[in-house]
Amino acid sequence: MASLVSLHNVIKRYVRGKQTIEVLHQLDLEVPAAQFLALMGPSGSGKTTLLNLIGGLDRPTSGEIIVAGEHIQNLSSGQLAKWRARHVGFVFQFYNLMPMLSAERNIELPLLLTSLSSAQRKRNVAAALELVGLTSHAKHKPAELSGGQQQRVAIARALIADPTLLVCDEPTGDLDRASAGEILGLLQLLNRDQQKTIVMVTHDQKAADYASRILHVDKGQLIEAAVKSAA
Amino acid sequence: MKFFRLIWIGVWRKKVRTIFTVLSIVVAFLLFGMLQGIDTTFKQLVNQGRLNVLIATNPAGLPLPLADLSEIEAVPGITRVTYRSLFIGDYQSLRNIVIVLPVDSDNFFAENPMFSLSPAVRAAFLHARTGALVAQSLAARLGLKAGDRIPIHALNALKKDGTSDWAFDLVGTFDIPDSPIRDEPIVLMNYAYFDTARATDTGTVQMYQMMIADASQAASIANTIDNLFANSAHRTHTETERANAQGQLAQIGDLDFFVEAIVAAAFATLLLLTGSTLMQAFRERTHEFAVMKTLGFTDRGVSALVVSEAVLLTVGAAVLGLLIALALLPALGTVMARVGAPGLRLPGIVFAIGVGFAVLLALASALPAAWRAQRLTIIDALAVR
Ligand SMILES: Nc1ncnc2c1ncn2[C@@H]1O[C@H](COP(=O)(O)OP(=O)(O)OP(=O)(O)O)[C@@H](O)[C@H]1O
Ligand SMILES: [Mg+2]
Repeated sequence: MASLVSLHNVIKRYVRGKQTIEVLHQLDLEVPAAQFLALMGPSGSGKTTLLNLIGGLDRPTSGEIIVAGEHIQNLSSGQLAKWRARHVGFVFQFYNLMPMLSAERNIELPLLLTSLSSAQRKRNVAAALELVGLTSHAKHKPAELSGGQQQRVAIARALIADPTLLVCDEPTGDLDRASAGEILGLLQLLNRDQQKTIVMVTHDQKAADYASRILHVDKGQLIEAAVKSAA
Repeated sequence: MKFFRLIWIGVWRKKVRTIFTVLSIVVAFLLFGMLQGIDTTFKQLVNQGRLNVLIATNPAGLPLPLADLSEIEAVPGITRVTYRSLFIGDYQSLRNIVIVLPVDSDNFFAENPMFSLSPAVRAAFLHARTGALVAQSLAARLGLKAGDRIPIHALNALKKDGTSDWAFDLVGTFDIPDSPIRDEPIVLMNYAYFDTARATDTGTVQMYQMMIADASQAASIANTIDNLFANSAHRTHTETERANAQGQLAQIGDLDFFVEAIVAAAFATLLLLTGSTLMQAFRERTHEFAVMKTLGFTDRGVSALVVSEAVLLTVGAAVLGLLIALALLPALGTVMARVGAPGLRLPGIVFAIGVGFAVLLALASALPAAWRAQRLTIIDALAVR
């Protein structure tokens, strides 16, 4: 199966003053399209760093990253921004919603960067709200929603522009077990029914079990944990 | 404009802070509008002063003998001479101050074509010894109409009968369109009536006004006139109508400098204030801007949002301030015109300059925040929680 995400020889170093830390050492990774991949590993092992590279939020020190056919390490900052808007949806542990905007306006945000008309945007937002089960909370501000509901808004926002890849950094890290189950079920549904490729970082084995493949990040390298059938 | 909501919400993120910022901008531009309005009115007054008209007055402000008339008329280069006096009075109460100008009606209108009135009214005024003409705005305000007998109590013109009560037959009205003095409470009367009835200073005028054929000769003709009376008890000071207007304004002070100093101080303060407010607002939102960049907003897009918010806030508030000035100036002018000050208004150009200033102010004060927004890197900003 063709890889949607390919990393070759990726090195990532952070420079803090005189100190240089190499977080990722010559890392290789292939993520086939429509896979639901969970990344696990101890705190500080470089999971977020890896995810940020895949999502085009950061650049590798060296190596190549090819996502959806694009060598993203070569893109300018402006090109990268446009590329993210088209290809990647992001879900974070702390939701990262705009506090001043209602749920529907938060979800609409990525569509402002497209050429869709106001009516089309409205229609798409309504469909996304429906998908995450929040139609009745469309006008609520983030502060008026529970953690689980906020995360569902974030997922709707990540999906609204129909990206090829969903990138989730501990999406259930701040949620109780029941809400976490809903979110993970939703991600699984998106993976199965809409063939969304998902890369999710998690500390939680129960969360990782929703994925079709689990990788451990350890000392800057990747270790295959288990290969599950897509069923 | 699909981003408008985003910009609008950004502006109103902290309501109280925004209201205070808006208020200070409104006040600064209100001040700017008022001062510029006053300044332009005075400039207009000076610019309407003609260069081919000379005004002769006594340097000490004393009256000049009417007997000088024939000598002045004989000066080469002068085509026509008119003269007038002036007294202040009130109609019915001190609330209705009027400026009465006893004029030489044969020549007054010929030399002052800005007074517009119908030929019939003008002819009637010429032949009515106790006739008077009043400014249209004054007639409207006091409810006067032709045929009315109007009593005016003079404040500085005693009559031979021992009273200060002058009576006129209102012949009609005149208008001075497009002039700052349009709304001044001016009453024109015949000099002949004035001079025969008054108790003091008979045979004198307050000033002579000369039309000259060649404006470039103004200085030398003025010199000739002043030399004629250099050794008399009633010396003259002659200058162009424009220089005369300028001189009257100079008595108020160096208005230009005053206006510019105040406006510069207000704008400098405003720049610091809005600059630091915008920077503070930016700092509170670095995380949100990082999220927007994550979603695909470009560096330039985010900094454009920051600048747009500043422009909306500043220009919106500035326009509000200028509109208030626009509304207040004529009202203030009308009140001031009642006591003889020129009418005030805010010309379009001042409004446009004000808006231009507001845009500059917005750009300058948004610059640091916009720069930071542009340079903001997602991972650094998102890491801070
Ligand atoms: N911007 C940065 N500058 C310097 N060092 C960084 C930066 N970001 C991450 N690091 C370092 O890189 C290492 C990996 O960080 P990363 O956030 O990827 O870990 P993680 O696996 O996501 O950890 P956690 O499970 O706690 O989220 C850490 O040692 C961290 O201190
Ligand atoms: Mg992390």
